[in-house]
Amino acid sequence: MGVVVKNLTKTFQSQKTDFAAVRDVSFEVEEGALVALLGPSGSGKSTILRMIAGLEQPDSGEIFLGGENVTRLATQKRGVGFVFQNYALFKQLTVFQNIAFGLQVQGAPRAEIKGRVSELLELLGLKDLGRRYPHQLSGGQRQRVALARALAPRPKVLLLDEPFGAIDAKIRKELREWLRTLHDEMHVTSLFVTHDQEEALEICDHIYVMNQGVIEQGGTPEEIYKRPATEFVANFVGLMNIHDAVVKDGKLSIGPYSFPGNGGNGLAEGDRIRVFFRPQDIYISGASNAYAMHARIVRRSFLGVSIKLEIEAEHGFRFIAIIPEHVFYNEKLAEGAAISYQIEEFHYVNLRAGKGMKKLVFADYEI
Amino acid sequence: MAKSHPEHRQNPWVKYGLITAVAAYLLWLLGLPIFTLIRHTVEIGAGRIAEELWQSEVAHAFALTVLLSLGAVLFNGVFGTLVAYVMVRQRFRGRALINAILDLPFAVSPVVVGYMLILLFGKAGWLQGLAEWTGISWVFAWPGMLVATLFVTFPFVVREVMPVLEEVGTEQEEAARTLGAGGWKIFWRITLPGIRWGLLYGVSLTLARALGEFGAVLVVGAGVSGSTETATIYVYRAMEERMFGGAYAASLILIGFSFLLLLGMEWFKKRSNV
Repeated sequence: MGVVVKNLTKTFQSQKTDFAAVRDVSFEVEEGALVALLGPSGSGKSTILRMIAGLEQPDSGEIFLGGENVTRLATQKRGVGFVFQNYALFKQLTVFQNIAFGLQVQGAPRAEIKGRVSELLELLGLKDLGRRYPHQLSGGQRQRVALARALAPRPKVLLLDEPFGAIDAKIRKELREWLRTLHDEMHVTSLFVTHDQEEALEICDHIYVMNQGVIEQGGTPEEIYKRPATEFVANFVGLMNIHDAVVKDGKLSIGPYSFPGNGGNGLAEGDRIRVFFRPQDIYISGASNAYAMHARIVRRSFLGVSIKLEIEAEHGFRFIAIIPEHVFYNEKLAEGAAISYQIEEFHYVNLRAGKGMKKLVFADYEI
Repeated sequence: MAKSHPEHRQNPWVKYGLITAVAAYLLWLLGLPIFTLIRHTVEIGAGRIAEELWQSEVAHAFALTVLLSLGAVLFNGVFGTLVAYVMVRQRFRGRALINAILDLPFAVSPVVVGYMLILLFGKAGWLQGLAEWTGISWVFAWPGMLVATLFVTFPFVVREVMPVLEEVGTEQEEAARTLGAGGWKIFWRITLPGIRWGLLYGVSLTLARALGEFGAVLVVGAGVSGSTETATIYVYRAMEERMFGGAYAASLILIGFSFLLLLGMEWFKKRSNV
């Protein structure tokens, strides 16, 4: 029972301008998977979710749930569970009545409703809260009730719209780990909208990164992080060092590094190149190393599990490196200290050729 | 902590001076008239009150007032909610204009309202045909008076329900849709319970206004004793005809109604803020 979306387009019309919220988007969610639509606000991800639920009508395109074309089907008949960012709990109903609502509407027998609601209350750690009203609950509890309510009628697909957006950072972290655990137990196909890349990376099987109404890249969290397909993805997911350079005399120079222009990298003379490298993909050592480059630490910030270093090398080449915090060697890496470094991996986009991202090859023989 | 900052400490003379001024104004404006009314009613004696009040046309006047008030509550409760719903949930051309017109009944004098209705339903009026076709007399009869009452009380429910609907938002209704509920079920189980306290408050205001309406119903109905005379019109006539017992007692009954309504409204207002 997966989700298939084909060529979905949606434009919102206002008095002055038309806003293309979603532009010809196609993607799939495998049955039983937990998938994220990740992107900044206004990228169209929530609109897609609302169209899958039938809360918005697409201008064109088709939506399939479990192989059935539901594009023209009423929300009520789609069998989706929807979790809203602001919970949208029924204020005048108790927790129990909230969770029971979907089953009651279906006309399920009383005993079955009672059994199912009790089971969900137990599963979501809400056991003693059945008689409370939503305003008597904490944010985290409300969101769990919203989830229980969506799950109660056994939906084919669970849709979550920024489900943890309105909750404190610490509880948000707990809730998302718990959502993953719950998903592994229930195996309901879930599509999850978020602007928080950490959230998406941590709990999802597959991520679609969205920007300005289109999907920039789809892949596993590791693929998205390690092999960003576009400049936007590289920038949006994780931290990046960014440098611009021009191919000159057959060579591309980034700080002390030099790359062959043609050959492996296929660059032409005069091409303008934007180069990316991750702060974590840098080897840093306090000791002098004959094979490495030399630089100086300008600023050091302690981040808990890691340390962020602002580094300045020869010719004003500056970048940020992040290294794991460790008692053993990090004492040497103080502000002003001389270090040696080695950048392990570069990616680039050719600004003249388009937005596709490639890995830079160090020398011709690497082909 | 309890000690306030010197700059914020209030001069006790200012504080008690203000309170005294407010209390005196309220006493003079609201307290004294009611007190006087009660005193005169007591002075006049139960015998004369019973004699003047215990007449069929007085009972008829109160019955008519109750009928008009309940009619206003029923029609404007239903249509006021509908109008509020459409105004808040639908976007359409001319919405801003309608929004401005909604308050018209507050701005127009009730006497003028009554006159407009006479022109509309009377001889050569646009709706005269309707009057003939239905066989109902509208002018100088209770149906016309009901329309007049509906007109002057129309904005209350709309204006109380609109902000509540706005605040409740559409998410709960959308959630109900994803759970399989259809339009009517959503309205009865989600929307209506969500706005019930605002609606009750608006209904209370409607009722209070309808009970006290004078000008519009007098012009449309002409205030014929035993026929188109309402409680307020009776009070006016009783004063004219120097039947002070009936006038005072009827006034007190109307004030009693209003007082009960006020208590109810306070309660609804508190609940709607929860």
